Amino acid sequence: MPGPEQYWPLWAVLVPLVGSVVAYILGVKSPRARDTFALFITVATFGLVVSMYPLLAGGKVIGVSFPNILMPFGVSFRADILSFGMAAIITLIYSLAMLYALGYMHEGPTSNRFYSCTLLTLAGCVGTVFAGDLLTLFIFFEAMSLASYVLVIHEQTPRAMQAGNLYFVTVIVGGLAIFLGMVTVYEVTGSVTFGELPILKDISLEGGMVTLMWISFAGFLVGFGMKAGIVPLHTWLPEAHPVAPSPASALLSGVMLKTGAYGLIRVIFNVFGTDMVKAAGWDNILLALAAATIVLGSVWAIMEDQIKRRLAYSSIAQMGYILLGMALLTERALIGDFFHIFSHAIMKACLFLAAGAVIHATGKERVSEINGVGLQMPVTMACFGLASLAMIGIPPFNGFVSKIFLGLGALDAGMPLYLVLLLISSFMNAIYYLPIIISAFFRQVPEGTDASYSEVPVRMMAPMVVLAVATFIFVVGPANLPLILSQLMTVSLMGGS
Amino acid sequence: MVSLIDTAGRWSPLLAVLLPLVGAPAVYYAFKKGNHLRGLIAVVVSLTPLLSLITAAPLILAGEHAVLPAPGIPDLDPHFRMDGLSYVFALLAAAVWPIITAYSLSQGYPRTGQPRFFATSMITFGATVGLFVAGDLLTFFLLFEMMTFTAYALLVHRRNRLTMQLSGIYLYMGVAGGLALFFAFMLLIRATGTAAIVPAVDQLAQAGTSPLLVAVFLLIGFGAKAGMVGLHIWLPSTYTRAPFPVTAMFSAVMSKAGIYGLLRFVTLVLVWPEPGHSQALTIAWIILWPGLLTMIAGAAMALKAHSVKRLLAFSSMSQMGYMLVGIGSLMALGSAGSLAASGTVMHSINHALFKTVLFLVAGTLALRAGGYSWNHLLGRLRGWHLIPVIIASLGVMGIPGISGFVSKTLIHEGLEEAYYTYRMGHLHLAEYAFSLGSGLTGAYYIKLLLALIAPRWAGWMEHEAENARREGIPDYFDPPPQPADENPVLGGRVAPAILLTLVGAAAFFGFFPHLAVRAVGLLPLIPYSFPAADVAHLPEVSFFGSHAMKAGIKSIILGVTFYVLYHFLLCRITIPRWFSLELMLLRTVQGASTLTQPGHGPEGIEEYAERTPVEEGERRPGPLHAITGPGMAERLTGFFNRGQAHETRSSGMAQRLTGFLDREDREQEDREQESGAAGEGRRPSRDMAERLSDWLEPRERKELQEEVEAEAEAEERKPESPAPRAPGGIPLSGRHASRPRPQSPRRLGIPGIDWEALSYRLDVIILKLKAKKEKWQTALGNLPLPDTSSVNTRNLNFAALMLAFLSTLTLIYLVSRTR
Repeated sequence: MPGPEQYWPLWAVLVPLVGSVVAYILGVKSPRARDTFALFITVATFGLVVSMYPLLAGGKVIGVSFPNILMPFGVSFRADILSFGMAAIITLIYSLAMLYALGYMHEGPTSNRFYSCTLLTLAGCVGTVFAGDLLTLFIFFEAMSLASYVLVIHEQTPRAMQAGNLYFVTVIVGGLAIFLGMVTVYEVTGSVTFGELPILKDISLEGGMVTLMWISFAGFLVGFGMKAGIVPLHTWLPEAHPVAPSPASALLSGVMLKTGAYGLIRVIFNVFGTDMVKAAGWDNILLALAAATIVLGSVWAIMEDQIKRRLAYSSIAQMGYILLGMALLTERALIGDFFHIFSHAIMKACLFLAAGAVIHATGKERVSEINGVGLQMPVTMACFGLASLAMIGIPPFNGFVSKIFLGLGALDAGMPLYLVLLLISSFMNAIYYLPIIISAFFRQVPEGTDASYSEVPVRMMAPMVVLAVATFIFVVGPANLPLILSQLMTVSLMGGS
Repeated sequence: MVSLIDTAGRWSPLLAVLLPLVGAPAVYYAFKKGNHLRGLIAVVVSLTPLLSLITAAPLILAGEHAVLPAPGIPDLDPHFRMDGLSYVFALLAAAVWPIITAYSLSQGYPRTGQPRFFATSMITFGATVGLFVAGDLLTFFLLFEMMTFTAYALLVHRRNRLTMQLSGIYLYMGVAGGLALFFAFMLLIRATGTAAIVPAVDQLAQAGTSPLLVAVFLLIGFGAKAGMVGLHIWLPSTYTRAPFPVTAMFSAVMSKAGIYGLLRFVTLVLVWPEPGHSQALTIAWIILWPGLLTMIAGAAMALKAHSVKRLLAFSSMSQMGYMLVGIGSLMALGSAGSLAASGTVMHSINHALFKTVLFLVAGTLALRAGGYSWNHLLGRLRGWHLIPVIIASLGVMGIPGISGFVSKTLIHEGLEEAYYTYRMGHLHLAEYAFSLGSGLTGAYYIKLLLALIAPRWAGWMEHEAENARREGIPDYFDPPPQPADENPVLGGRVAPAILLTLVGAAAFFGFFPHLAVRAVGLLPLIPYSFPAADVAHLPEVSFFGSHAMKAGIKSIILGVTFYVLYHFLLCRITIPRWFSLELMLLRTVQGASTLTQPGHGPEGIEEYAERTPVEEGERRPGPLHAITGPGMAERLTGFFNRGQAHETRSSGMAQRLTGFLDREDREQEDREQESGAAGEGRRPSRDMAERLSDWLEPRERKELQEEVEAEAEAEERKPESPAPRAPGGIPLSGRHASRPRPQSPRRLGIPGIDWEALSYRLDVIILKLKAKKEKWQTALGNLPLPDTSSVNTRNLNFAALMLAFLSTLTLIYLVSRTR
């Protein structure tokens, strides 16, 4: 019988899972109680995750398994420092977005559904990162994807429904692809449980095994790549992210994309192992995809006028960075990769929340309409501006640090091309983010327009401010916690060095 | 007491950065609340870095470094560090900024948005001082980028559209330059394993990175900031459109960040132990020759400049060329380059001094005269302003007796030394190029002084005015300064005191060059490992000896010669319109922004409206087609034969706006004028007023509105004018022919590509193809050819974009392969 501390990952999953049901029931009686409760649950989950750190420090692993559930595979939970880092950023963004949502969402017949599903996606995300085997990961990944469908179509406009349909198809196809990969792995080794070493460590790429491994890898790549928005599979992303309510957009872009990246990292390092990935040449495929994702995402973002869609395309480009970081397979690139997962979650959540605040207060959704908004809503647009500068990678923001490490990783791997690519992408970031700031702060308000908007309430402002401060406070502060965590996470994957 | 000063000295780099940053909010609120001490607060805050830097003087003079850790990214250990070179540049920034601040306060300029202006100026100041005292790559990069961004806010202080657009070029060039720097810094960090600034040639060799690649990217990054030729495209328009204090800050201090960067990161990092290493020489030539080109091109453009501010802007660019030449010689000579090093730094200081004076006085004169053009400022230089302007101009020309001569001589000696060391043919050529640059510099300053002081000698004016008309340069390219506050915050006596002190120092050090060298010429040599004998010899350079004087006199004679040549010959030359990089850039930027900014017609009308009244009877080029091009059909012809700018007679506000109207309107006007029906030109219509109303400032809108109403009243009593005829010319597809121009549904925000023009050209090509096809079909007996009429231009645009993009990527890939 495992000790009580082994159950922490399970609690972190169960709290939001049960909370989502309770929130729905509460909401029928009292929306106010539900709001408080939902916020409490997200914060409690965050607290649970953070308090797990002493158990995991020094490379320890905790977890429990229930082999009797879903018989041949079994369900298991496992937390190492990698899961911890992911869970920490996920729950942090959820707490802030939930606080924001309390101010942003209008009460209505669909409110219960929204809060309940948000908590369900939280359970899904946390479950995904705390999963001890591929099946558990798959189950929670699917739960998260399906629950987030409800968030996408929340407003139930024709456009949202259309985007929802696309998203739904993507989820189904992606889920099936992951399932294919998982079943193949199970067929080959008889186990899908994560451990210290890769699941497929004993497999050598010979004969018929090559085909099987290719099928398995392709399955995982398609499944997780769809969620992560890698370029040929990204089509749902710019449709689905902007139509969701802004807090949900922040979660979709800031957090849920990262579960796809997390899945790919687990697949590369814990299922196939870096040796096999290199031997099979899959890293080259990933690099090519990353390059395409970075470039095309940025180009599309430049061509987009609607702010939230521009942000969604920017997310695609940034997921390209993350894919690049894991595909380079060098230590510093991986540090940069994890750091960018943190950074991007913070920056993009901040951007979506600020864009949502502008829409909430002014109803303006396009870059070309927001002239002078910065003077009316200084705090909101200042947050947006800080996060944009972070996106471009201006020092001293966190985007700069991830760029340094990703760039050094690229140089370590002997591929300066990818550093140049990062720089081109930074320049394109500047091209599509700076006009927003310039319009908001410097361009004159067109005469004759009624330009008196008030700032959003504190409940919405506080999360933005926290996130905007987080984009630089760790870099200029005495200890860069995300970077330290990224280094620990990298060590746990690459082994000590 | 001693230990107190010592401690303060050690902390001074951090204090110099932080105090203005901390003071910025205080300045903001003092101005916001209208505190009567606000001027004093601004000056005091801007003086704090100077005070804190002075406390570090004993340390620096003793040859020590002031090192101070700064927090930041672990492992890479950012810190501040101050040695002689940093100290001189930091002191320069710290001295010039309060001067400019006090001067602009004493002139009551800018009148609007003072809280924003002075607070931003303080932040920029902190960043600028900070980058000079940064101790490692990352801190430097942080502050360099910060300066780029905050300076943008200063540049666009006058927030109208044209300024925004032209300053956008600066911003994106700044970002791109920053990324080039970042690339070079990453290569250095990876090779050395640390962000510290250390000689890195060996480590680079070990890491398999070519120092040449690092140098090229550094040169791109810093050259963009300094205004090196090719990367200078942002400079003229940005300088002319910024408020004059900002222009002075840019010219005097911020452009020096590029020079300092090259000194610090090229000459102190890419150091080979033996002088004359082949790679070191290659790097030297790729700095030296662009430097010479910058010098000559800047001076040539200054000679043909059509306004005073523009002349000074190009002069700044040209002087940057001198410093680049100094850096190139230093790089070539290695440890024997003490003359060049000292000359470069001293020239930075001298240039800062002179350009501060010139830009500030030019701004003051323009405030009184209402504009910067020759027309406005002709003979306007009178009274006590004469002394500073004459001394500063002579100083830039390099007349013996003023400190500019000292630094120029040092740079020239450096170049000569490089020639005598390596005896290469192109260095001999470089000598001639240097003389040419100096001569041109003399010529355009003679031109400036004559125009400002002795207008009756400035006979070239007429020709230049004619040129400007032919070139179709809109005069709102050089906007007049916005009116100043009549009750300045600081007293009016401050300005003369400041200027006279500055030029007094210049003249003093010019007469005693050895004192100048001892005062500032030796400090920056501390971080270099020059032989002690060389350094000791430096103050003994014979500045008034025959050799140096010969060079000085040669440049004066050349200057006079060039001026005479200009006066009688060169002023008659019209520079063709296609040669104007600026018009091209503006078209590009505006093409992009008409697509990103919906609901607006042609650009720049507010600028046009704010220019000064036209003199009676003077004919001017059509106001807007110089920029946005005339009507569609004419644009078409413009693409084929680059026809001359359409000219319209204009008198009064409404007529000046007629440039908006497309060809058919103008045809109508021409017909009316021919028939003598309406000789006054076009009247404004209500529709036009509505179309224009977005473009104007309230005052002008009111004016226009009144005019329109008056016209409407008059109209009621008259019979209706004939209906406009359909436009003639080459038939176009419906998309372009319809008016008002429809907005394309998906707007592209890519600066640098004139989408409208591109799609237009594609249309033109298709039309031509069609015409050819018909010709061929008749000639070849109706051969079946594919129908091109259905080609969608937007898809073509996209394909072209993608093609360009892929080829860029391929290029980069190839470049990166050959590292």
